[in-house]
Amino acid sequence: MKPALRLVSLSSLALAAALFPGCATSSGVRNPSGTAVRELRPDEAGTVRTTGVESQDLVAVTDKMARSILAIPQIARAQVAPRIVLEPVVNDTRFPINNDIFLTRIRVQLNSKAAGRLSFLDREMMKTLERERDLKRSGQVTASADPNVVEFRGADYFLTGKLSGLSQRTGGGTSDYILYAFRLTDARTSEIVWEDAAEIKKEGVADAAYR
Amino acid sequence: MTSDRPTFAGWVSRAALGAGLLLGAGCATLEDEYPVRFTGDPVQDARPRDKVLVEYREALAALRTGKYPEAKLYLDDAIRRIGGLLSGPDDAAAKARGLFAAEGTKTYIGEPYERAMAYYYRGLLYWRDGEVDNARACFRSAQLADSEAEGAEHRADFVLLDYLDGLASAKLGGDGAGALARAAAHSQRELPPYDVRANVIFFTEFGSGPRKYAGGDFGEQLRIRTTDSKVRSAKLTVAAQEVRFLPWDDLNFQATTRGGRVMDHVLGRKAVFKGGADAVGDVALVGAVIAAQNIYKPVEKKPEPKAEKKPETRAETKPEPVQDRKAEPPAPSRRLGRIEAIEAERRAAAEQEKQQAAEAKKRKPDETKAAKPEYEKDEDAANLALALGAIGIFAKAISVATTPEADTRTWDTLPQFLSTGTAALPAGEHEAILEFFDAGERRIDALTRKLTVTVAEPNRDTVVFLSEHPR
Repeated sequence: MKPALRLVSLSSLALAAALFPGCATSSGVRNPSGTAVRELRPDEAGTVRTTGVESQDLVAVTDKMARSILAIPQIARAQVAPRIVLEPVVNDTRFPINNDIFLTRIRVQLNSKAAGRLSFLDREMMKTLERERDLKRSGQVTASADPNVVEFRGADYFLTGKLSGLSQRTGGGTSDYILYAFRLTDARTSEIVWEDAAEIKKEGVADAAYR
Repeated sequence: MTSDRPTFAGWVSRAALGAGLLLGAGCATLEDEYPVRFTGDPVQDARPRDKVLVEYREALAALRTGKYPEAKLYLDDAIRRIGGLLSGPDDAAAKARGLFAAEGTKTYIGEPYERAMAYYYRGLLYWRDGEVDNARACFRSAQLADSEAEGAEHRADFVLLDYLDGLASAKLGGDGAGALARAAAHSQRELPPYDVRANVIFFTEFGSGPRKYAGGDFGEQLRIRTTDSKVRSAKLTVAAQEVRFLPWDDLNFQATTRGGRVMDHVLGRKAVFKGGADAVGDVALVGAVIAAQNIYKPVEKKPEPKAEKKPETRAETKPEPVQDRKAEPPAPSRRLGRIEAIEAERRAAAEQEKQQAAEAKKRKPDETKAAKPEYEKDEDAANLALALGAIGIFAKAISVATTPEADTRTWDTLPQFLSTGTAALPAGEHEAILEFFDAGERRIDALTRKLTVTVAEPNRDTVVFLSEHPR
């Protein structure tokens, strides 16, 4: 082979070697084929993260609150199972959330672990229940008891909560602190008989391409 | 050594062709390989990296035409994607930071003012659904999205967002005074105090928002183009009440006061690299051309000794020495003889030229070529020319492949001005007239329209969205 031809060949080879790696379509791409659906525990942090309220936070906070409520004397030593009404949680953070989800999980935890030591009144169903009572009173439907007797139970305690947040963002990233505070209020005296809280702080920095 | 002359141009052509093939053949990306199945739904058909942009546009179009569930669907998905950016290494973003991919290859989430507007629209939809605390959460996220401005005075400076944050708090029984004070600090006009008895909240917008374009030598600078709206205020007349809407926030101002981005630094470096590679390519190619001009040099022939040359016909007409002419003037007879000799010489020369011309016609082309001067090849110059040519082409190819262009994808349906107002209305349907005014307070008749404000539950806030743009 002539020297000139050899030089051209070597140059072409070098050029190809330099350019081809950059042209590889999926080279350097993490997980180009995606991820198949996988099951996670609700208390496990997934691949997709935010600095807001995540399922593991919900599980951790509601577990803690349920254990805490069951330990108070008003519940643990009650002669008659106290009746509790849930009031919507107030969201005072920067994250839109389903306000009912915290109390729903706390109620489920308490009902499953309290073994009848407390009961919950379903105020969400009040309109339906009142309509049914009126039908019974009017004789349009049958009744197993006297419909004119008021049997809707009153609450002994109100359980509610508030999520408060403190957020910061700079060019370096985002930081969010959330205080999950819950309380049990005596319906007769307005006394707060129990209160507990959980705190979670998260931070993250987005890729420079988004800053 | 002798050889035929112009082959360097051929080599350069071949090398350029090879480089072109290398570059053009196969730099296919994953997006290009993404299976395209058009469904007619712009969100479904959008490229993954553009999906948020399409969702922004579709959500706003749905909002302006009263398709609120659709708007919520799009905004929720877009906001989820914005929030998911902190999940970890982002391949698309990392690629966009690289030399050979434009910024536009990253997943679009928009500039801070665009993200803020996505949260703002979602917030008013939450309010419309009676979830005032979630609406407040959205207004706070919107304000936080705007807190990345370079100048401290421009961070989180949306007047409307703080005002609505405080109004929501007041509606929820809290204290909105802090948020109202923050809003007032950024406002150029006096803000109305919160009226918690007002049960109708109007969210109003007019004008056309900012657009992005690329500037700089290589389009590496993200720039904002703004056009001032003809509409400068609006008025709603409903149930004998007048609600004035003055511009509380100007998206043109928000878009142009962000300042520098981290990505601008990355793009600037890309531009410098591209310019440097281009300059290296220029220098190398010029050097290659110069070296190529020196590859072939004419063979230096040694002059033949004069003694060996035989005098031709001139010997016969060799003039006499000058001193002889001066010494002895020619006689008339000798002069006539001289003239005849010159004439004979001319005729002989003409005859010789004719013969040479006739012989040249008979010669073959290769004989003619062989008659041209011969050249000697300089191997060092050839190698140098090739090396510089290869470097030049490679540098040029690298320069061409470097993409410092800024991402100019724009949520182009945003308004310029945002405003709000409240009213206390009884339950029922109320006929209303919406009017828009220019800077001189002259009504723009073409934009005047009638509408009906329906208050379903007087104890719950009714949210009315009013836009200059029906769609």
